[in-house]
Amino acid sequence: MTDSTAQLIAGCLSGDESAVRALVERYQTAVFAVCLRMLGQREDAEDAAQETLLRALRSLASYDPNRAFEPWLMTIAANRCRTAISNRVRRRQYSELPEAIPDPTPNEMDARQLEEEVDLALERLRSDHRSAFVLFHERQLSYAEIAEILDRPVGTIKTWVHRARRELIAFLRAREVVQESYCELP
Amino acid sequence: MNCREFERRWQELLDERQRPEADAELVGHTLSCPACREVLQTQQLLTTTLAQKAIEPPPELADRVVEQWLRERTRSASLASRRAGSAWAPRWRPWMSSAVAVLLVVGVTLLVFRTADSIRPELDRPAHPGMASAVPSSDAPAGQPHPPGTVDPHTVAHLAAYRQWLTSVSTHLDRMPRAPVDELTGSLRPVADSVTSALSALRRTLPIVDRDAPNRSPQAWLPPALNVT
Repeated sequence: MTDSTAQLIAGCLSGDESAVRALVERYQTAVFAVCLRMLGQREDAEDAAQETLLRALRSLASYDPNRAFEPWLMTIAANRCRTAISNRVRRRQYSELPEAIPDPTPNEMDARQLEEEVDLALERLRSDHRSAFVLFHERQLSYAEIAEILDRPVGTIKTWVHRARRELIAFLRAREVVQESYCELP
Repeated sequence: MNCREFERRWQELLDERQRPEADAELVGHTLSCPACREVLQTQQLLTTTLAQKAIEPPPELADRVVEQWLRERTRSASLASRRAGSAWAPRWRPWMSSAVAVLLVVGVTLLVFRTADSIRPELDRPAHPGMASAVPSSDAPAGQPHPPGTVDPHTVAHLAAYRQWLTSVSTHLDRMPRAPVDELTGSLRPVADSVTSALSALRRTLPIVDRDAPNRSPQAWLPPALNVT
């Protein structure tokens, strides 16, 4: 944990509104990114991110300053997302939503389309595999930290990340997103 | 290197946050294996896309969080102050109420009996203009024999005076307004109720409860002929 984060946390605990705002602004992008990756839908991600940040602020008094702050925050985010996913599954039992899959346009794919393809590929992953992958590759967290966040053994997390990579590559290959012009191997 | 070894090495390098496309052995294998080459290219594309893709939270997210936090803090602060103000109440209120009620009842009882004592000299005076004093006067012929079948005049006078005294105590209690009770107990309803109940109990224990039925127990033993009011 950086010193400034520690100071911000101390400020939050003393009720300093500016410290609360600064802490939220510092971590909102990371929290929102993880929520978006795990939930796949922006509205759900916004709700989950807001709830995550609020819960973190409420629980700051019980936060152990010897632990890294971001993994602690991501644990809360992962829990919120899991709850949202289970709620969504319940909702879908009543109304099956048709999944919008954009038309593949592999030969004239710009950066935006490529992002959409990657998002789609991520959405197709199993939620726990996706969470592990996102936390490892996007949030750059270690396997040990992810294991703590997702409450699974390190070996399981490693397996999930490996599977996620394989499935993502397989999906993107099937969508023919790779062209020689995009990435040239040395 | 075969394809299986390629994948193991590829995963290892990614786990170590290294660039597989910079590994000579892996790249060497891709030269002879189009499938693994495509895997490596796709992974490179994925990594680049994820790194470049900027995920921006909604601009109002921080405002929403801070506003909600402020609301919760205000609410919890008011709750805490309310709890602090009455923290002792749940545990001590019953005891305090009972203690106050007992003290008030004792005080009121003392007050009543002091007032009654102030009229006690009535016992020394004739209870009725036409009657002898309740206390036999010193010049009355003590121990004077009285006709058989009649009651000793001294006894009659004592009984009449005693009855009058009891009546005055009871009347005093009856006339005692409710206001002082309310005034003393304030808004402590349990205390007020306790005091009122205690006064009623005190009233009931007095020998004369109903002055309209003077011959009821415990005065029933008084012969009607001697009932002097």
